[in-house]
Order: sequence, then structure tokens, then C-alpha cells
Amino acid sequence: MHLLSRRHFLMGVGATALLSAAIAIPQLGSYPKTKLEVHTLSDREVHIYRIVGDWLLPSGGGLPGSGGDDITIMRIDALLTNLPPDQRQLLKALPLVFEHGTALNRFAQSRMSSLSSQEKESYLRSWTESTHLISAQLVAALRTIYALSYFERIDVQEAMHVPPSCIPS
Amino acid sequence: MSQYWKEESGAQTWTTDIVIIGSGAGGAMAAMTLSEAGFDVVVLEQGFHYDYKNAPKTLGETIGTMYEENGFRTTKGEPPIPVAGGKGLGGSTLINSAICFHTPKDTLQRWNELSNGAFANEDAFYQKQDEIWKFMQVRETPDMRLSGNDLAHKRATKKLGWVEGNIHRNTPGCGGCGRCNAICSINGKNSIDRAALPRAAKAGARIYTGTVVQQITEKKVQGYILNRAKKRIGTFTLHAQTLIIAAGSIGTPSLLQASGHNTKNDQIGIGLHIHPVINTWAIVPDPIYRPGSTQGHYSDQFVDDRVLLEANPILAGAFYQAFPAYGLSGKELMLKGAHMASTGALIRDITEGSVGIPNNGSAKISYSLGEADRKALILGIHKGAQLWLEGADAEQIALPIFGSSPCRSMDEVYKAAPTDLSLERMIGYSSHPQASCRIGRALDHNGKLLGYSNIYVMDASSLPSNVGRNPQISIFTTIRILAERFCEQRGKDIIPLFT
Repeated sequence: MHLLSRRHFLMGVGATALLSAAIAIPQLGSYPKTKLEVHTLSDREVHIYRIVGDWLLPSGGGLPGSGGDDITIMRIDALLTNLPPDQRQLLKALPLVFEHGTALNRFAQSRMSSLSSQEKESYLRSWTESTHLISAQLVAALRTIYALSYFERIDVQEAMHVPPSCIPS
Repeated sequence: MSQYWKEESGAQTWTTDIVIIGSGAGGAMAAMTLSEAGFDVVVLEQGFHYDYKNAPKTLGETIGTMYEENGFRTTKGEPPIPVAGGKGLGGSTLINSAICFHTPKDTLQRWNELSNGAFANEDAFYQKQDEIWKFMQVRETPDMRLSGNDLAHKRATKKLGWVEGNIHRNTPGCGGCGRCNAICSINGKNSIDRAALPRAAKAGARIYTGTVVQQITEKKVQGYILNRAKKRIGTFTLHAQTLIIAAGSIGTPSLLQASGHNTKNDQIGIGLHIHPVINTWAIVPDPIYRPGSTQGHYSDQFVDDRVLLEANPILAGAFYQAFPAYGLSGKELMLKGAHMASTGALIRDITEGSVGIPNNGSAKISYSLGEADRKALILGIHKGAQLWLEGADAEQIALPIFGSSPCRSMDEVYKAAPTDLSLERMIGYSSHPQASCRIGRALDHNGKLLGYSNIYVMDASSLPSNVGRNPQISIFTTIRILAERFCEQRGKDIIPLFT
């Protein structure tokens, strides 16, 4: 599984943070309170992981659930909870790059989670199709999270006809 | 299997002839050899005992529990490369794919040159290796146990006329669950925690889990005790006549340097090889999935170019990461899981990195691939692509390159992975760090740390250079020889591997 280098991650976060600070006002706002019993993720992180997960892996398409459903979010939370503090902080900050990365492009007037469906589609697609090295690494890191959560589900692995990496419980 | 290890708490003080720090391929082999020869031995293992009864349920949990630094251990350099390592009784043998290769003859000759004669007796080395081979119950993976990916790999290499073979593995009870990298579902893998540690304990070795070493001096080892929930529940001080460090190629030099021993020996941590891997993923026309071995087939057609191809474990998440799929169409692509194939190209690296003092619990591994290895990695990408596109008529393949699109022809591959492809674009991986505390540099011929009278290193870091193959058999053999020599020098009788 690919893991992002700290240097590239910090460069990405730093660039995003600087620009966000410059046009901070449109990026502010509250997030819905989650009803899930999460241990590590904040309301904001749950919300962003849900939106990105539902975009990357929406309901339907022959595979059960979605990348933003409760089961996947709880798995992401468990994954992060088990990490050492430094690594946990990096992965907690990761969704913020995508949330506030709008500051870097034509959607600067809003954070990602507040964009319209069409804008969100265009914005997230630009991330996933980017050949820019740091962008590609950030996307790879994000996909690692879903690889270790959504694709760890037995029901998903059965539907894919791949060997189970989990012990059925 | 009855419990042969101990879990302690509170403030402990222990005394012993020999303390062995680490219970992996090297530490366990040393523990068995020395305790059976009559030494009083204590083994300290920072992780815990795992088998199918108490193994973590998911891959994510497994990585978070049984892998060093929760699977996040990564080199610093170009490109950053994750370095996997096992944590628990058995060390990395607990989570490896059980792949066994004999030490290549040219490797042994190189070791002998690099160490100024420590491996001069080739016949004795290979005789010992044959014993180890039997002791670990190594067998060639039969065709009936090959996974769908192994079989596709085999068909493709045969079609291309490449040198190939089924991999030998120490899995005498393999049921084909493909879970060697987590925990075998039926205890079919003869990892070193099953092969050697119970024998060591039977001979009197005291094996403590959850014991994290912080400081070693020439006569004393200190640290703290964790429970399985990673909470500190005690401390220990251990007095020993002899210290054997066997914490792996990253852990051993880290520990020695953190304890200040690099001031007397500046070769500690120098010369690290990581045996990097670069993976290629493919979607082949017909479904190939069937259960089987984790990794059961290889090709060493390109061994002269330092490239070894091995069929990969098939993981849903890895498939998702390989192909830049998203949205409903991406999910539909994932339904092609049964068509998924993968190979890994392992590079016998020339590059030497180094291991420094850990920072806040994270290993400091400096390693930037040199030009010759960059070229070898690109060759590995090209050959992996050729394997699937020309050997298996793959519909599309995914390359281990950041920001690349799937390829459908070799022309597209050469465009996406040109010979001048920069290192930072490559997505590599490593599971075999070695040679970071080498015999011939940091150690004498007996594995003794130069500058010290009673500190030894007996693990993968002792090797004088890269094995060029999955290294566990080479480690077992080398450490058995070192441990036997230790006994002989002290007039102890060695108990044979087969009694």
C-alpha cells in the first residue's frame, strides 16, 4: 500500500493552508454532528470522509454499500484509532486538504463540502485525474484509507470474487 | 501448542547468561541453538504471540497490530518507500509469504569477499542450509495449491519462454487460504515461532512478550512492559553476561545507536539494503480467481539484471489503489476482481542506505535509490507489463507510477515509464531490509560487535550484503552457524536440528 511521504504531505498541507488563510472567510462554517460513536474522527472529518467516499465509491455499481456509509466510516475511525499519534494526525488532516483545496482553484469561494454536486464532481475529478506529483501522492494516500476500510469489508470482497483478507467473524 | 512464552507486569529484575533481544528469524534460531546447548537464555520480544485463534480480524487491524510502526515505517529519501516488518513472536516470519530460496552461490561468494573470509567454507554453509530447509519443512508449492494469480503468472511466463518455477515455501499444512501475510487460518505455516521458539522454551529459555527495550549497556538491558492494549504495565532490568541483538535490520542498529554504541563502532547502521519491490497489476480477459498460496510462482529470467519476478498476493484494496477508478464506473471495474493479476519485481539493490536513531518512535531510515537501481526498477516495470500484456493478453494494466493511466500496449507502457522516469514518480515497497550491521564491517566473523567483548548481532542485519532473494532461509542458516560457533568456542555441545 502506498504511504505518502511526510515531506510531500506537509508541502501539500502547507500550500493549501496558506492559500486558505488568504481567503479564509468562505472556507469557514460548521459541520453536522455525527450520530456515529466514533473515537478519533471529528464531526468535520466524518463529514468530509463521507462526501469523498460517496464520490469515490457511490452506492450501486454491483458492490455493496458505499465509501461514505456508516460501516466504512466506522472502519476508517477504527483504522485511525489504532495508529500512533503522529500518523493519526497526518491522516486526520488529510481530508482537510481536499476540503480546503478549493482555495487553490476556481472554486475558492467555497469549501468542497459546500459545493454544488456539479462543482464537487468537477473539483474532485480534477484531483483524481491530476498528474501533478504531489496531487497524485495525496490522492494515493486518500485512496489508501478507502482501500483499508471499504475494500476490507467481507461483503465487498465476496462481491469482487477476491480472496478474503479478513477472518469471517 | 501450550503456552511457551510469559507475559509479565510490575517491576521485574532478571538475570541470565544470554539475553536475546528479538524473536524473529535470527533471534529465535539463536535462542533455540543456545538454550539447547545449555546456556541460560532470556528472549525479549516487544510484540505478542499470535495464531489463528487470537489474530486480528481484518487486514487493517493486522497491519496496525503485527506490523512495525503500524505498517507506516517508511524510508526517507527518493522515493520514500514503505518498509514492512513483523512484530510479535516470530518477527517477520509471522507475516511473510513463507517464500524460501537457497542463498545464491554468487551471493555467498560476495559475502565471503566483503567479510574477508567469514563465509569461506561454502560446502559447510550449504550443508547447514539443507538441514535448515528440512527443519523448516520447506516444500515446492504443488500446482494444486497455486492460486489463480500464481497459475496465470505461470502460464504467462511459460508462453514467453521465461525461466520460471513454483516457489518453495515453509507451509507444510497449507490449505490455500492466501493469508500468510496476516495469520494463517489453520496454522499451516511453519514460521519460526512454531519451529524454534517452543524448542528453545523446552530447553529452558524464558521468553517474555510485550517487553520493549529502551537502553542496553554491556551488562544490562532496561525497558518497559506493555500489555496487548499497548498500555505500560511494568518495567524490567535484566543483567546478562552476553547480549545478542536480533531486533531486525532496522531495530537492531536503531537500538544500538539509541544506546550510544555508535560512538565506539561507526559502522552500526551502515550499508542497509531494502530489496525494493515494484508491482504491476493487470486485468486479464478471463476470470482467474481461485484460492491458493499467497505467493506461489516466480521467474528469474532477469536475474542477471538483478530482477526477480514473483506472483503477488491478491488484495481487493491493492487492486483499487492500482487502478485510478472512481464513481460508479470505478466500482464496476472493481467487479473484475476475479480477473485481477499481479506481479512484483524485486530488485537486488546496489544502493546502500543507513539506519539512524529513531525519532519519537519512528525509525530513521535514509535510503535514496542510486541510478543503477533506478534502471533496474524500470526494467522491472517493463517486464511486469510485458508479462501480462504479451503473456496473458491483459485488457489493461496499471503501473506503479504516480499519476499514470492504465496501459493497453507496450507502446503505452514505454511512454508512461520511459527509461528516464524519475524516482519520485515510482511507487515502491520493501519487505526485506538487511545488511545494516554487517559481518565484515560492524561485526567480526562470529557476529560480535567490533569494539565490544560481549555484544553480538544475530539477525538479517548481520548479512554482509543483499541476498538477492527472499532472505529468510539465508538468515536462518547464517544465524544457526553463528550460534553454533558461539557454543563451540565455549565448549558446549550442540544439539542437532533433528534429534
